[in-house]
Amino acid sequence: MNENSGDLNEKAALEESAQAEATGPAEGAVSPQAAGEGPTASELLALLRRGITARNPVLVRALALAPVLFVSTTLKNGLLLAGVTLIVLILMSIVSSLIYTRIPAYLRAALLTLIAAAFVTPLCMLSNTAAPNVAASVGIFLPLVAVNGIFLSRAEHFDGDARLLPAVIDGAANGLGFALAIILLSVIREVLGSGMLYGRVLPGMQNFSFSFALMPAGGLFALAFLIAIVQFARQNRQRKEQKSAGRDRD
Amino acid sequence: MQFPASEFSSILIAAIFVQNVVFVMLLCSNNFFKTAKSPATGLIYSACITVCVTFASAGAWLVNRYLLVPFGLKFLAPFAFVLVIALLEVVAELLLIRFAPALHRRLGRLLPATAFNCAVLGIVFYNIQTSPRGFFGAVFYGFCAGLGYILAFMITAAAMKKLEYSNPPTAFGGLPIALITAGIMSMAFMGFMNIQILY
Repeated sequence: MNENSGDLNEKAALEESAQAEATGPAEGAVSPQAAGEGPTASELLALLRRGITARNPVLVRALALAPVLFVSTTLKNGLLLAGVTLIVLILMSIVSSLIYTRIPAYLRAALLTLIAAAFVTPLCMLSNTAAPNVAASVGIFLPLVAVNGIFLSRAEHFDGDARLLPAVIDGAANGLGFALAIILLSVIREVLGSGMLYGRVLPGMQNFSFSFALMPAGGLFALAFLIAIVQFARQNRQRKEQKSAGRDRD
Repeated sequence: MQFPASEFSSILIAAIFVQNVVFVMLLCSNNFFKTAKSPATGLIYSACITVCVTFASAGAWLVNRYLLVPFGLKFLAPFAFVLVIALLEVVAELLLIRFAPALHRRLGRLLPATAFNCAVLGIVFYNIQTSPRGFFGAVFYGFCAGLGYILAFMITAAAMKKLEYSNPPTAFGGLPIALITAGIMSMAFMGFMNIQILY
C-alpha cells in the first residue's frame, strides 16, 4: 500500500507544480487598485488555487505545524480537524474583513483570537456529541484551532482592504490547503502505521504495523519528506522556467 | 497547602524532559523553526513564551477552579482560557506602550505571536485539564514546560547553526531539514517515554 501514499504524494507534487503559473498573475488579483470594480470569477478562482497550492498554509508557509503533526495519526482525526479548521477560517475571514481596520492595533490579535475561540467552542461541543471517540483522540487540538495562526497571518496580509468576497475565498483556500496537507499526511501515517485506512483494515495488510509512523518522530519525518517533495517540484518548475527564459533571450 | 519537594522535583523532570513541549507533545509554535535561524531573537521569544505560559497557567487555574468547575461550565474552557491569555497579552502590551515605548517598538510585533500560539494554549490545556494539580503545582508546571520549550529551542538552534556548514539536498533545504533534525531529537526524547514519575 506504500504505492498508494506515493501516488498521493505525486498528486500533491503535480498540483504544486501546476501552481507556479497561478502565482504571478494572481498576485494582481488582490491588489487594492482594482477595488473599484468587483473581482472577476477567474481572479477568484486563481486566488482559491493559489491558497491551496502556491501559498499552502502548511506545506509552503509552515503555519499550524503542531496540529498537523499531532493529529494526523488517523484519517478520521485528520478529517475532523480539517473540517473544523475550514469552518473557522471561513467564518474568521468574514469577521476580520469586516472589522480588521476598525480595531486599534494593540487589540487586533487578541480580539480576533477571542472571536475565533468563540466560534471554536460550539464546534468542539458539536464534535464531542457527534463523534465522541474521534473528538477525544483529537483532544486539545480541537480548541487549539483558535490559535493556529493561519487566520492571523492572512488577516495581516489581506484584510487591509475590506472586500468581503475575496477575503472569504482566501479564507476557504487556506482552509482547503490545510485540509489537503493534513489529509495527505494522515493517509500516509495511518496506512504505514497500522495498515488501516479510515479505521478499516486494508486488504493484504492484516498484520502490518510500523508503529514508528504514529509516534511524534514519525510525524516529523513524514511531514519533512512531504515538504521536501513539494520543494523539489517547485525547484524543478523554476529551473525549467529559467531555462526556457534563457532560450528566449538567445 | 503543602509543598512537598519530591512533587516539585518530579514536576520539573516531567515538564522539561518526559513531556517536552516541542519534541514529545509537538506543540511547536508557528515561529519555532523560523526563529531558530536567529538565536538571539528566538531566545527572547522563547523566554517570553515561558513568562506568558507561567502567568496563563496561574490565571487559567483560578478560572477553572472558581468559575468553570463550580458552575458546571467546563465546555466553555477553550473560550475562557483564550480570554485569560488575551487579557494578559493586552495588559502586557498596554504596559509596554505606557512605560517602555522603545522596547515596545522592538518587541511589539513579537507579543501577539508569543501569546497566541499552540505552545501556550496547549500547555495550559494539558496543565489544567488532563492532570489536576494544586495551584502552585500548576504554576510550576507551566514555568517548567516553558523551560522545556527553551531547551528544545536551544537544541534546534544549535543544530541549525551546524546545518549552515553542511550541504543537504536542495529539496530538503530550509524547513524539511529542520523538521528532520527535530524528528531525530524527538527520537532521543522517546527514551524518556517509559519513565514513570509519580506526582
